[in-house]
Amino acid sequence: MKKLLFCLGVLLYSTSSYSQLKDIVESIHGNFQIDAQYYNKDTSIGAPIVPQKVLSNGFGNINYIRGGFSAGIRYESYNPVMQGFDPRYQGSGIPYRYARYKNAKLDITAGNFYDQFGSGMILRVYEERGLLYDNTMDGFRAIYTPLRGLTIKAMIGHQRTFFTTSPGVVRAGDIDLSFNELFDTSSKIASMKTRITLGGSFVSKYQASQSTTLNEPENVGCGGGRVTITRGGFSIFSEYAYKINDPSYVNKYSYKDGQGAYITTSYATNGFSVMLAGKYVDNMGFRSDRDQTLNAAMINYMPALTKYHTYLMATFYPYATQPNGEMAAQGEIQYKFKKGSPLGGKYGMEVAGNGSLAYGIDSVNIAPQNDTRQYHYVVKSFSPGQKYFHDFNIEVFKKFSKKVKGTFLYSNQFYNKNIIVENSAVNEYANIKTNIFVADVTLKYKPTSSIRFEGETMFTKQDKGSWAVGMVEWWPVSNFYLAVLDQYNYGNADPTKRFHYYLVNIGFIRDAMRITMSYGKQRQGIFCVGGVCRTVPASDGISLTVSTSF
Amino acid sequence: MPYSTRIRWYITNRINQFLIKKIRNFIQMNQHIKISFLFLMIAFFTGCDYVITPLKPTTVVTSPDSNKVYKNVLVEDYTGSTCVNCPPAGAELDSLVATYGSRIIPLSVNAGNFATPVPTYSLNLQSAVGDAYDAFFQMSATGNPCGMVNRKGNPFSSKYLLYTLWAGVAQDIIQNDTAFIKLTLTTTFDTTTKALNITATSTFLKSLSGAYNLVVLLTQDSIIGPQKSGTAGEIANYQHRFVLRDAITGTWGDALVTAGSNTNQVITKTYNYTLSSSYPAAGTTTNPGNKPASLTNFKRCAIVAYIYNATSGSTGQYEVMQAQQKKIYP
Repeated sequence: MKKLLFCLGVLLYSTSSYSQLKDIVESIHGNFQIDAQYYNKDTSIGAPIVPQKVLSNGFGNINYIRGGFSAGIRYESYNPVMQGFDPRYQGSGIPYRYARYKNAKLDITAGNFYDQFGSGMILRVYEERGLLYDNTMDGFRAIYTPLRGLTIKAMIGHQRTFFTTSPGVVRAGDIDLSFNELFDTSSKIASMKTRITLGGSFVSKYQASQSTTLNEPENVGCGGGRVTITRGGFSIFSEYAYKINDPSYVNKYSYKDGQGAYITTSYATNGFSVMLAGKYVDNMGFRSDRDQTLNAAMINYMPALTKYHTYLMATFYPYATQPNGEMAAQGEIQYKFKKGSPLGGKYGMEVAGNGSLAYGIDSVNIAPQNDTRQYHYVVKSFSPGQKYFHDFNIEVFKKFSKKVKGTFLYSNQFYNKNIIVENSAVNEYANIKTNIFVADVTLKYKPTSSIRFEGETMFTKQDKGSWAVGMVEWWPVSNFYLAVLDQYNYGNADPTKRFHYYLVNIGFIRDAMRITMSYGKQRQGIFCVGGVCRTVPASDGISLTVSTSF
Repeated sequence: MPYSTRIRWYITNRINQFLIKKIRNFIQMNQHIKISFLFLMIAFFTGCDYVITPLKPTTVVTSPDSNKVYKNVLVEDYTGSTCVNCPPAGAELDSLVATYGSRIIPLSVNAGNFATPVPTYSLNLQSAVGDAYDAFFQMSATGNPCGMVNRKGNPFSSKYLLYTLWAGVAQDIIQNDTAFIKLTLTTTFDTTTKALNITATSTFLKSLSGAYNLVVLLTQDSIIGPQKSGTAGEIANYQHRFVLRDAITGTWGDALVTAGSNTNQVITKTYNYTLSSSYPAAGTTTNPGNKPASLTNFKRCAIVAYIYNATSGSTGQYEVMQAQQKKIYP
């Protein structure tokens, strides 16, 4: 509380002095957001009783910048945290505060900071407020640029876990070398079309061992290198990472080393682009607390090689990287038919095809009596194992007239629920195969008014069966909207569970302020990561979001 | 090899050689780059512990001296029949009991969504008191499997512990904590009327400040029923051990002292409880072990009693100070 009062005092002082100091203070800015929901009991969909009736999440960021100096805080409050989020977010506090100074050569931060090395496979410290994901580092970071094209980073600190910090200390270093920029601007290499960037990273965490049965490594290192080559519209990025023995709850205390490789290449030219990416992951979960799971204390991040969908049915069965072992690939091709061409018509047309595949790795378990090194498994070959997921989709963007435009999507997905949801080796559930169709048409009947119709359907014989979605979103003026949505589980094998999940949503936007209110029902879900599962309860109620920035 | 391919190979090779030479020269020339890479190499070799022998020798536990008062350890396993990852947590609880014997007071709390009966997993092991503990300590809401060890931890944040951490915390309590309260249980049980009489005698071995409550619970061991597993699928005849069935006191117990205790202060509480006519539970053909009341089932029932710090606002609030268990029928 004292810390909070002190920070508010500093803030008030800064604000009151703002007018006097405006010739030297460059900026003070921030943002606030409050989400709250009123919960009704709804036995039909399994929405439980919430004794408090109203739950809320809120935060406010305030940043002050003066020349090369900046400082900021974020206040967070959960009273208590809304359903579906980790209840260890409890109470209020200031888990994020920093002071930073940078000049041409040196950039130094004391306190909290976010950062990423390469693709994030070795280190990615970031936040995603919508998911209440925050693994910010609390410590020191220095970024040194001794010469053009060379950046050296070093950092040390503990990661945030809810309102405390992780017991493991993270020490990390990264070198980024832009080869062409190292040379004099007049040299041929500096002006070459081919640009080469090299990078190397190393992260070590220290956590004291408290195990009564295992000799756990207290210092665990993970390192790797990366290269990026670009030439015109072509680019290729690849990264390799290696991690030494790192027994943890998530890998069932396996002492096997970890490896990860990631490569992505793309080519883009006027109206056409193509992208290919591949990934191999074996035992690459890396946390600053070996005994944490779910989303807590993660040092690295492995992106899922899947299309980022925005439509409800296309995201109904979402995939997440399996850090214990995965081989995945993705390809995408986009083509824009020009205006006046047979397919392009008067306004042109854009077509995108995307495909992604994810498999397990080809491994075999070691019998416990033979597992003296506690590896638990060995990789048999560099080839795909069990199939986890696929998504093949085609999307068309077409403008029909000055007032009418539409997006149409077809997606075929495969979802291994046993692995993705429960991380279970037992084939209890049938693999879910879906065919999804989406039509999204917008009619802009006035310069500031539009109405959008969205129809979606997902055909499947597995899990809860087929679904349909209908939505109308009306913007009578440019800063106000009203949307009505219904998700209907019409294909549920149990006729008594063919529920409608209605949602009415109203939003008002004025400058940076946004107020949205919705009333409706949300489906129950199960969220499992690293051997721990949490139910995200169904809900029925009114929710309110207020956000603003300055 | 076609002539065009040879030319392409020659040009590519020359470009590669040129670039490699330039990079090598530059790195050799530039102290900053040399120092940076040296830094990374040093970090790599100093920041790693490579373990050759992962397993520690088996801990030898000495038997407790019957003349001394020890602080026992209440280990709570929050679980459910459809929780695929929960059987290893149950095995860990068994292992702790096997290692430390009567120093461990085991309690399996079936609560939350994964304990809600569904087709195939219809055996209902939930209890009102278990649901209350689960909701209050936010166990299943955080994620199963999980538990608490003597409810240690910050009362204002979380006492949540993954099962792999139970052994370390339990060993620490067993080796380092001192008992400040002695708890003795005596019971009588009439198998005909199912009347259970419990006398709990609490002796404060030193003067303590604050409030302390006594909670008395009923447990049933080795109920056979289905359990979902991530490695074995449906286990039809899973042995559900140390299952919390009911609270004989209220959920949060009865106050022993509300404003501190005196040294050697003795407080005796007596409880009369009757097992319901369908208790331990009505049997069905799909739940073969959950048969109607029988001597076998009575032998599996036990009283678990614990005394906890009930001092409002204290950093040790809810921490268990002493725990005991006693079978209702020998």
